[in-house]
Amino acid sequence: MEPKIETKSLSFYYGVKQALRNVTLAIKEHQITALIGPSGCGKSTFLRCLNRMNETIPKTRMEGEVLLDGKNIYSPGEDMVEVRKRVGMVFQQPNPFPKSIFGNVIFGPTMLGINHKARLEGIAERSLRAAALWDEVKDDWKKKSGVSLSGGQQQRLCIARVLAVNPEVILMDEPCSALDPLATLKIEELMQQLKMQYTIVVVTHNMQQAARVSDWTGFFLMGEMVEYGPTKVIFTNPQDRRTEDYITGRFG
Amino acid sequence: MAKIVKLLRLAIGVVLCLGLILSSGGLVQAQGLEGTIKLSGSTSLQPVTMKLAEAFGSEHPRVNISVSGGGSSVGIREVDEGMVDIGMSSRELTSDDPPLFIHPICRDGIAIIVNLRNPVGGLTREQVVRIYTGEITDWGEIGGEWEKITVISREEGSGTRACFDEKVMKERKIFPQSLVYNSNGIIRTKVAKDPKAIGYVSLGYVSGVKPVAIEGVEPTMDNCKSEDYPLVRRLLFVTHDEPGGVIKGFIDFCQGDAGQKIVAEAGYVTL
Amino acid sequence: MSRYLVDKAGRRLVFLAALVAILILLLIALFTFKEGLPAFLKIGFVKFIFGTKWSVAGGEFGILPFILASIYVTLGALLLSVPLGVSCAIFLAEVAPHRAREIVRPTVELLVGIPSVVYGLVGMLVVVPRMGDSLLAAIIVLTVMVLPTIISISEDSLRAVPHGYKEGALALGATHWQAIWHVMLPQARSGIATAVILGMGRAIGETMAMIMVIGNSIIIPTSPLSPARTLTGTLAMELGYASPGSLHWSALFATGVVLFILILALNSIAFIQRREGEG
Repeated sequence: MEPKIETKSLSFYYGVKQALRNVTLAIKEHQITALIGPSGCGKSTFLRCLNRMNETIPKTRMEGEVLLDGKNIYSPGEDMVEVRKRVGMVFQQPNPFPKSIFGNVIFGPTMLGINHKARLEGIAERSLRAAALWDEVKDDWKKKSGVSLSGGQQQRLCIARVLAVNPEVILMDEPCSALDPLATLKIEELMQQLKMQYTIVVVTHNMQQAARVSDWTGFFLMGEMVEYGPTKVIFTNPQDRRTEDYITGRFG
Repeated sequence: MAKIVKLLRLAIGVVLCLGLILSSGGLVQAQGLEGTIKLSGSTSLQPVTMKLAEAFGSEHPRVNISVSGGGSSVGIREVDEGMVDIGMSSRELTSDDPPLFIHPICRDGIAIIVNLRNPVGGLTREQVVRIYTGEITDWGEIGGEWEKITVISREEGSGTRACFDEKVMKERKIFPQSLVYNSNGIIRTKVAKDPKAIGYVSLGYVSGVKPVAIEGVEPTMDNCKSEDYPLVRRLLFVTHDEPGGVIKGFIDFCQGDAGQKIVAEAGYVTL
Repeated sequence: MSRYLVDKAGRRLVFLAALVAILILLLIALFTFKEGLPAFLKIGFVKFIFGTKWSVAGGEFGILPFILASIYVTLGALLLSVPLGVSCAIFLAEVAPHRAREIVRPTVELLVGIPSVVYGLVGMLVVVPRMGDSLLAAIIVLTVMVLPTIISISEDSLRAVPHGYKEGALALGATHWQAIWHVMLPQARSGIATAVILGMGRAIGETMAMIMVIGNSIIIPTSPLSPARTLTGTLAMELGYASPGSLHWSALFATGVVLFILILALNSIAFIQRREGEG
C-alpha cells in the first residue's frame, strides 16, 4: 500500500538551531500513527511540517520533502492553503473561536466560499455528529458560544471544525494534554471511529495513550527519529536501546 | 551645579524680598529710585517694554520690574483689580473699560499686506473696506489677476483688529467668510504662502510680504510718524491712579528721549 | 501585623489618590458649568446651541457653526485615520518583515510625542497651500496626528490575539487574509475601539494645530473645502479677551460645557461599541 504521507530527509531549523535531522517516515492511510518522545525532541515540529504550519513562524527554514499522495506539498506550484484544507490540525490547547458552536464548525466551509445556509447546517450537523458532540449541543448550538463549552467538548468542537472541511489527514498535537481522563477517553474513542475515514497522526507525550490508540509509533529524540514501527513492536520489542530506555521510563 | 544655581536664585529672591519689606516699597530715595513694578497686557507691547525695563533697571539697580503678557484686555483688567501696577494696551480704552489713566508710550502702524507676487501695489480705503465686507471678491476687480481673494483678518478682541475696525472699517462689518487668525506671525506666513491673500499686521512684522499703499501713502516709518498713513495706533500704558514714585519714574523714562530711542530701535514709531 | 498595616495604608492611599483625581475633575466641570450658566439663561439654551451668528461686538452668541465644525473635523479625521491606521497595524503585526517593523514602530511612536504646533506649522506650509484653509486641511492634519495612536494601540491588540486563533483559522484552510479579517480583527476589536476613543479624544480636543489651518471663519461649513471654526478654537482665541462676568465670558464657558457634553456623548458611543465588542 502506498503511504498517505511520506517525508524524505526532512530537516528543520529555528534560526540556526536545528530542530529536525533527516527524518524519513512513511505514514499509512486509515491508520493512527503516534509520535512520541521527550519534550523538545522535535515531534511537534515534525507534525507541523506536514501541513506547512511552520511557515507562520518567522526565521525558520526547512529542507527535504513532504509527499502527500506522492506529491511534494512544498513544491513551488503547491498552494499551502490547499494543503491545509487536505491536512487538518487539532491543537494541544483547544482553540475554538469566540463564536457560536455553529459558527465555529462552519468557519472552514465559509472560508472556502460555501454560503448556502441549509448546506452549511447540514455540514455542521454531520461534523458535530462525527465528532460525537451533537447530542450534547444540539439544543442550543446556534446560540451557545464555543468558548463556554468544557475543555473536552471544546476539543471535540475543534475536531468537528476540522471534519467540516472534509480533510484527508488529521494531525493532532497532544490533543488530550489539557483534558481530564474522562474527556481524554472520549477523544481516544473518537479517534478510533475517525480512522475509518481519515488518516490520523497524533503527537503525544503520554506513552499509554500511544500504546492504546495507535497502530504505528515513531520515537523521536533530539530531532532525530530513532525508531519507527508497529506500535506493538515498539512497546514490546524495541530495536533501539534508547527507545527501550524511554518507554520503560528511564528518562523523559 | 543646577542645584547651586537654584539655591543662589532662592537666596537672591529672599534677600530681595527682605530688602523690599525693609524699604517699604517704592519710596523715592535721594540716591535714586527703588521698588518693584509689575506690568501685564498686550503682547504687541511686551517686547519693547522688556527692553525699556532692562534699560531702566541698569540705571536704577534697586528697581525690580516684571513684565508679563496676556493681551490688552488682561492688562486693563489686572491694573483695575490692582494685581499689576501698569497695564499695557494696544487699543484705546472704550466706555466698557474701567476709567484709567492713559500714558502713550509709542505708536505702531498697521500694514495691509499681500503676497510678493501680487501686482497690486496700492488700494483706496474704500477698496479695502469692500474687500473685507465681501463685496469685492476677486483681485481682477481692483487691477490684479483674476483670482479669488483670500481675506484674512484678526480675531475680535485683538488690539490690531480694533484699530483696523476703527480706522478702516468704521461702521462696516468684516464679513464672516473671512479667515481669522490670532497672531501677526501666522498671518504673515499665510500671506507669504498664498498669492491670493490679503491681511493686516503690525508694521514690525512686514517682511517676506508686500505692504500696500493706502490712498497712495506707503506705510513707512516716516509716514506713520507724520500720520499721513492712516493706520496708526497708540500703544499705551494704563494705571489705576495718578502715577507717583518709581512708577512715575519708569513712565517718564519711557516717554523721554532715552526711552523713545529704544522704542525706535525696536521698530516702533516714536510719539 | 505591620505587613497588614502597610497593606491597609497602601490601599487607603491609592483610594485617596483616585478620589482626589475625581474631585479635581468634578471641580473643573462644576466651575465650567457655573460660569457658563448665565449665558444659557440670558441667551436661551436653544438660541445658544442653534444660533448661527457669533459676534462679540454685536452681542450675538450662537455656536452651531462651531459645534458642526468640531463634529465634522472629528468624524472626518476618524473616517480617514481608522481604516488607514488599522491597515497599517495589520501590516506591522502580520505582513511586514521583522526588520521593517523594527524601524517603523519606533518611528510611529516618536510621532506621538511631537507637539501639536509642529503639526500645525507643517499643515500650514504643506497642506493649506494645496487646498486652502478648510475643514479638509484640518481633517488631514488631524488624521496624521491621530494615526500614530491608532496604529500602535491597534497593533498591540492584534498581537495580543492568542496565536491559537490564527493557527486554528489557518489550519482550517483559511488564507492569511481570511484569518486576519474573520478571526484576528474581531478578536482585537475592543483594543481597536480603545484606539479609536483615544484618537477621538485627541481629535476633538486638539486646538493649536486646528487654529492654524482651519481658517476660523464663523460660518456653517457647507463643503469640505470651506473654512470653519471649532469649539476649542473659539475658546483658545477669545478667552484671553473676555472680561470675567461679561456675557462673552459666560458664553465661552457655556461653549466649554457644550464641548464637555459632546465629548461625553462621543465617548459613550465608542464605549458602548467596545462593550459590544467584548461581549
